[in-house]
Amino acid sequence: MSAAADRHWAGLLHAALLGTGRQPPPAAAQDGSALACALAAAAGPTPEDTLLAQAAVLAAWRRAARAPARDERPPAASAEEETAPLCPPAARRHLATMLGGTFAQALPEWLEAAARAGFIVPPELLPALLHAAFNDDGLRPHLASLVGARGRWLAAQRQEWAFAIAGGERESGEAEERDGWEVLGPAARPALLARVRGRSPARGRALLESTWAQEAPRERAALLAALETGLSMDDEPFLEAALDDRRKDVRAAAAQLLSRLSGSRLVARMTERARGWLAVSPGKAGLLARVSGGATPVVDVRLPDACDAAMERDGIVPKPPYGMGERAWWLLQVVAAVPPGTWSAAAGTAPGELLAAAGRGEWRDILVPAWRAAAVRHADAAWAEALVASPLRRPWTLPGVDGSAGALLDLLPAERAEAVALAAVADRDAAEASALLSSIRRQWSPELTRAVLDRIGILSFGGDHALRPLLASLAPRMHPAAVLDAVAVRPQAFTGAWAELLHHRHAMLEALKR
Amino acid sequence: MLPRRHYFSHHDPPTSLARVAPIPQLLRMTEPAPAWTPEGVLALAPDPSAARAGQGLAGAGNWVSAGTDGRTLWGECRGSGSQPYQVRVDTLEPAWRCSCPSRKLPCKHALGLFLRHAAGAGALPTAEPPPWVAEWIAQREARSEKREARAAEAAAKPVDAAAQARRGARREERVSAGLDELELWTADLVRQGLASARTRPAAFWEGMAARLVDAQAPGVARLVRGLGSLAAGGDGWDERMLEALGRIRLLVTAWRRIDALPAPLRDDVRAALGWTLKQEEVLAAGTVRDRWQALGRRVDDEDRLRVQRTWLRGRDTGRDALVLAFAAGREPLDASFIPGTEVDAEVAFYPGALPLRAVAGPRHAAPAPLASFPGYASADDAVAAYAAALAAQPWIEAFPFPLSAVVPVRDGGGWAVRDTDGAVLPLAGRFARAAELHALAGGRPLALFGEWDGDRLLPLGALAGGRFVSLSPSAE
Repeated sequence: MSAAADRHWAGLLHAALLGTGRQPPPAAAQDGSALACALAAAAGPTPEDTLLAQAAVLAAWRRAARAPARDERPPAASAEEETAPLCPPAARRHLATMLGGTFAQALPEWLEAAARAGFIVPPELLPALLHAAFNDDGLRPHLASLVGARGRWLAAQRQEWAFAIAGGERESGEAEERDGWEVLGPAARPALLARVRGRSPARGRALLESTWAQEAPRERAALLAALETGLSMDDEPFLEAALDDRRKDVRAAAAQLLSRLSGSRLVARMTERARGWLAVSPGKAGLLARVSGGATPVVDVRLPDACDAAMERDGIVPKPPYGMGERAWWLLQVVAAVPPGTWSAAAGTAPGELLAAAGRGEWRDILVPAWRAAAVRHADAAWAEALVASPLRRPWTLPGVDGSAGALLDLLPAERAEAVALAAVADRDAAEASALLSSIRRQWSPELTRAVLDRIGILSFGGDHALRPLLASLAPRMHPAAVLDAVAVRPQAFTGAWAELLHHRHAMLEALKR
Repeated sequence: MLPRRHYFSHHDPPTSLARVAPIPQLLRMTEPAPAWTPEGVLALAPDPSAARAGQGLAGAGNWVSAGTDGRTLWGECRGSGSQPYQVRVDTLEPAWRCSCPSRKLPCKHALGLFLRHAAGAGALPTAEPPPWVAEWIAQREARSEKREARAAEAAAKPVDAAAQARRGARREERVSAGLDELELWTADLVRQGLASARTRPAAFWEGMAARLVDAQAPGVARLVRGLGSLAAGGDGWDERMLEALGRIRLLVTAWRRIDALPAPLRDDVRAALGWTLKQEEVLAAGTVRDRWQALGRRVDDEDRLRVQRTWLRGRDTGRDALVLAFAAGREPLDASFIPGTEVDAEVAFYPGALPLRAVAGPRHAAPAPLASFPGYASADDAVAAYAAALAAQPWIEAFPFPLSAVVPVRDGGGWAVRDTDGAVLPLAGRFARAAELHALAGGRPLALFGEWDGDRLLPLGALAGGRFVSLSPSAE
């Protein structure tokens, strides 16, 4: 664009803004150039006329003469080539639909199935997927392999997407880990530590120990919590020492982890305390026992008198939640750290009988939540199965432990969890059966799916209409092929949003088959 | 004074265009029904919720019965009523009918059936149409025959040339009078200064636009309405407004001197002022057959109408074409060309010095996915082509830019694309899918198609790794 054109345009603009009444348009240069001739030809009888006509000439002139600017920056690094195949077109469509908010409940299942099939996500959908996973942890488990090289490239450019790199399958060397540990910001270091722990727990702990003394106090708790990955007795001395940290959140994080190590000194101390307050014995073979064929275990509870400094050091929170007495609260927390097998061994019975005995006593509402947390902490499947079948009347929860029915069911092997659910569908009332069904986090087998449809009355007339409103929330777990087969018999009952979701799930799983 | 062309005038061209749109395809289709893709079918959905519901009904489980005779699809879909809904779809036009009470066209049942068909060959069993379907086919045939007969009758009716000439002359007088008034109005505007014009209420601009509509010059009316939104705009509004005033001035001058202009430019001036041609006339003037690649699409809402702009590029001729379609309310938009596909077809261009706008003609084969498209090697080449186009037709608003290798880069607070020489074209601020484009490129060059407005590029489609991804700003 010539300087003369720019100059004249600026003059025209100035005149146009102020108004030709006050500021006449500039005179064109008389240099015989094409531009000067064109501008001269455009001059009209009035200043307004000249201004508009010359603007007409220059507007076209400028638009035609505009040359692209140059960007001399060196090109940024590009993404590596993908090694895994892109998911098929139909699967891409399903993913886009779910990222758009439709059938979003099925997104985790799609991600799992796509990862299992070894596919990667199309690159143009990565920003939406990473954004969704940033807001929802539940979408992250399979992300590292699904996003491919392109996803790692993108995540490296945005700190809040660092989770997509964490746990990535790309193996990095120790030197690289150490470099990362020293340069990364506070938000990304726990993720890096978790990743290193996933490869080598010892190396991860060594990394943390090497800088522990210099870590900023407010970042220590998050770093400590990252030791959850690959947690073992090797970490116990370090964690035990962290119980003397100056910050409360660090002490709590250490106690939380130690409560899950059956061999830790903390658990030994808790067991010692608990034995003083909770006595379990096989019981005397009385008249009742002779009739029923076994001894009834005896559960005896004595509440703690005080919460001393040693208990607080072990992570006992002195102040109870609203509605609970403080002594009962201390007992609950102590028992929740003790491996539940301790009690069944002492009573010489199966967990179920001990639970039945406790259920008759007045401390049931303290003991059942405590045992639930303990079963989850110490991954005791036998207790988990017994506890899942014993409903909770007062759902007290402990901070940092998920003692829900869902967590208990996750401890069971798939077929045991299914058996528990099938039994509940067969003989529990609607409220209990629905609570249990809602807490299964795994996908259902065809048998369970059919059993539930049968009870709800989808497969036959009658049925339990109390369970019907649940269909929408249960549909994400049902076995889609089993439902579609089953409803072929009674299609008229198969309508509504839950049916659409099942059709979608069926189609999306089909599209991901290799 | 003017060549005897059968222009016709009305205030609402789009609706009547939409009404006549399907006829040429229906009458001239030389091949069996085109292969529909799920994307193509979903593009017919009147709104996203219908698209979603349609996808939910695309499974075989929803259907009591279904079949096809090759062209017509039918099926009985389970709904909330006691009787299943009877769904019929003609894949050729396309057209649909369903016994459900929904007022959406097409309804979710028709979409579901269509999607089932589009999912793959053999998805629906081939059969004889049952009576309720055969009846519908017969009805449609009867109606289409009647329509053809009417069209033939109309064609046979002698044209009252004298009356037409009278109407044409009257319109020209009105337009001239309207433009005279516009000229006084713009002179006033610049005499008092654009700075004070900025404080005017919306009615000031709207009033002049309305008078131009009355003067039967809706094209200029739109430009004047554009001035109003420029006045309300932010940074750089003054330059943009002076440019726009310059273009309006150019149009007024061109109209005054129209007899001195070369014939093709005369057509451009008349089109810019708001004269329209019937699609049949455009088609009758001759078509261009090519493998037309649909590279981008944009749907905008204008005055309760949806306007769909589809850009095509001929693989053999290298010509660009812009196909416009209009739909009111929930009417589906024309689906002749789906971005990301190419089809052996004919299109006819509206006359002009730089023919871009086109209308779809007969199709000779089913559309196929496109694997590559020819484009400008550098940003300089593209801009040079734009300059040449402006020299031929200075009122171009959007110019097609197929670019064969560009990388999206950050450009200040926004985005730009950079070619292999380092030349950058800034992207339009309203382009909302830059993150997707960036992810798609992965830092490597990709083929990009966009609209250039002389200042900024609005990407509409990209091709990376042999895969076309639509970047259309409207929801897919």
